[in-house]
Amino acid sequence: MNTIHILHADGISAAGNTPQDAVKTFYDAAQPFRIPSHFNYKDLKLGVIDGLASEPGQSRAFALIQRLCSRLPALPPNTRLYLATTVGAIDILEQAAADEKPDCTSLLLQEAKRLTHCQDAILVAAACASGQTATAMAMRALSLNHCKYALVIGIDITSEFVTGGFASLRAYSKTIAHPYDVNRDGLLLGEGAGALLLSQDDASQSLGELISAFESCDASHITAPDLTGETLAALINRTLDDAHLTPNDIGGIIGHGTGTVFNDASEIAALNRVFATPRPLISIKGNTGHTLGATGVLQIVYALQFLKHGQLPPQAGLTTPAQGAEGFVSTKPQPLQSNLVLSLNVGFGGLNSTILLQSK
Amino acid sequence: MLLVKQQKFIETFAEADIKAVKSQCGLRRADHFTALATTAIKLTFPEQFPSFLPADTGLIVTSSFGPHRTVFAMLDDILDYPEDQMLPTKFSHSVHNAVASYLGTILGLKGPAFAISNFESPLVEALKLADTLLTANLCPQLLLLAIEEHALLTQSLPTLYPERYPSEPKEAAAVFLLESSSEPAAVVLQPNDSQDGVFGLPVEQSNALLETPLPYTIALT
Repeated sequence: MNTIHILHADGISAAGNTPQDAVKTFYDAAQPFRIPSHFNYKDLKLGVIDGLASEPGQSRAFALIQRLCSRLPALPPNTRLYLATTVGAIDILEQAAADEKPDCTSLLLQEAKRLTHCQDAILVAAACASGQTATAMAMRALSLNHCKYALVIGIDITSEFVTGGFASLRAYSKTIAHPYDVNRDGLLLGEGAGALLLSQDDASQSLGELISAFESCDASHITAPDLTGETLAALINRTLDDAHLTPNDIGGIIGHGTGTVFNDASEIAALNRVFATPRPLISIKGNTGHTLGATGVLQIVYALQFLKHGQLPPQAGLTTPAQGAEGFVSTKPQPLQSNLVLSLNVGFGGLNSTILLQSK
Repeated sequence: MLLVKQQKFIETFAEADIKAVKSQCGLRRADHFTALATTAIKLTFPEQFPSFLPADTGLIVTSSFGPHRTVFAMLDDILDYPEDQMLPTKFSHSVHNAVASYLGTILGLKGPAFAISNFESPLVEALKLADTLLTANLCPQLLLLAIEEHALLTQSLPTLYPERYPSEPKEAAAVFLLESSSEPAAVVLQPNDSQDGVFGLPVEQSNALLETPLPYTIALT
């Protein structure tokens, strides 16, 4: 795969309205979760975005993508759009009365195409791995000259549908998200949106570079990951081999780290298989909540900030590292060992995604 | 260029076939969408199913509406039950790529696996993605499934949106086993405004896919 340049990187989450705002949240290890105002499930706190209101009958997702797209640079003609989301504008269906015609034409892909004027568009629905999967698709299309520019948008909102779904799975923490902590007991959801404009050209405008990406499937369960970590480890090794790198070349890792017992155990097992010497590791979900389809894109957006600062923030929610995570995670900021960051994204059904990026 | 090694279009699913596949693959809890998808694969490869592909085969599932029957059933449950009494199985099946994970597990596929969605041209977008993955050598071959299920949403579309859906989208599946090829194309797929063929293709291009003898190559423009 050819090196792909990141020409624009933007993100909105509970951590901050801009990547620069979010940096303070990350380095303070703050966890700005609160009870949402648009619905309430047993006072469960979520990673809610400030000031995100939608008109009655309109989707919160529309308000979010409009805010994100209002900050895009002018897009070159024929930019291909990759939209990553799990449930899109699901709140429209939640709001519609039984005798109302649901506004199904006003769906998130249509809205994204309208805002960006991208006619060539694809929606990637790979559950929680959607964001990085869409980014990897864009990287390959660019490498093969199937397009010259690609815009990747990852977005998901907090909704009754998903909140109820994860409640039925008993997936929530009783307190707060504790990724990679020995006492972790579940996740907290969040909402977010991230955008990356990518190209093989325009190196002079590059904010950072994407150098390798791969995907795989655990082929083991409809929701749970492979707890041995073997498949994810194999994918990480393949990613490193493709870039002619060794594990010691990696400066830091942005993990998927949801805070659930199984996901984090699987990831820790995989990382221990690959890295004989631990590398600095963080999950942004301790600060943003699990933003589902947005998380993969946000991980890359925020990784660029961490590379700029030369260190990973402390792991929010961490008190005592889980067994196997010692040496990887820390309650303090960790200097990056190089300018290379590995980002991991894992989805329901054992979908694994890895992306390697480096600072310019 | 894409080489189509095997393909099948299925427009009628017999209950007996679905039942047999559910029994064979332990799909007792799987939803209708997953059962249809698995049946489509079995009908395409009846002799060799389920262990007929190497583990590094890629997988793409494409659909305009996905498991909408399950999604709307989940929405109904939100109205009828407290959130923590909703069925976790139903939520899991409402995830668009659930069928990809089911197929990966049943067929033993550990290569790249994707679910994508597009209203206008789900099959063309999936073929484009397949072309990218195969050209980039991410997998030596790829199984592509285009699938739609028939339920209240698709039944209602001609009434709700006649300008886009003059008739109900059918319950149907198309299965392709693909490799990369440098041979001249036998079929050229080029998007245009007409989408009256299978899975959003123009009729004449859809007919070309249905009528060209196997194996054949596809070019995408």
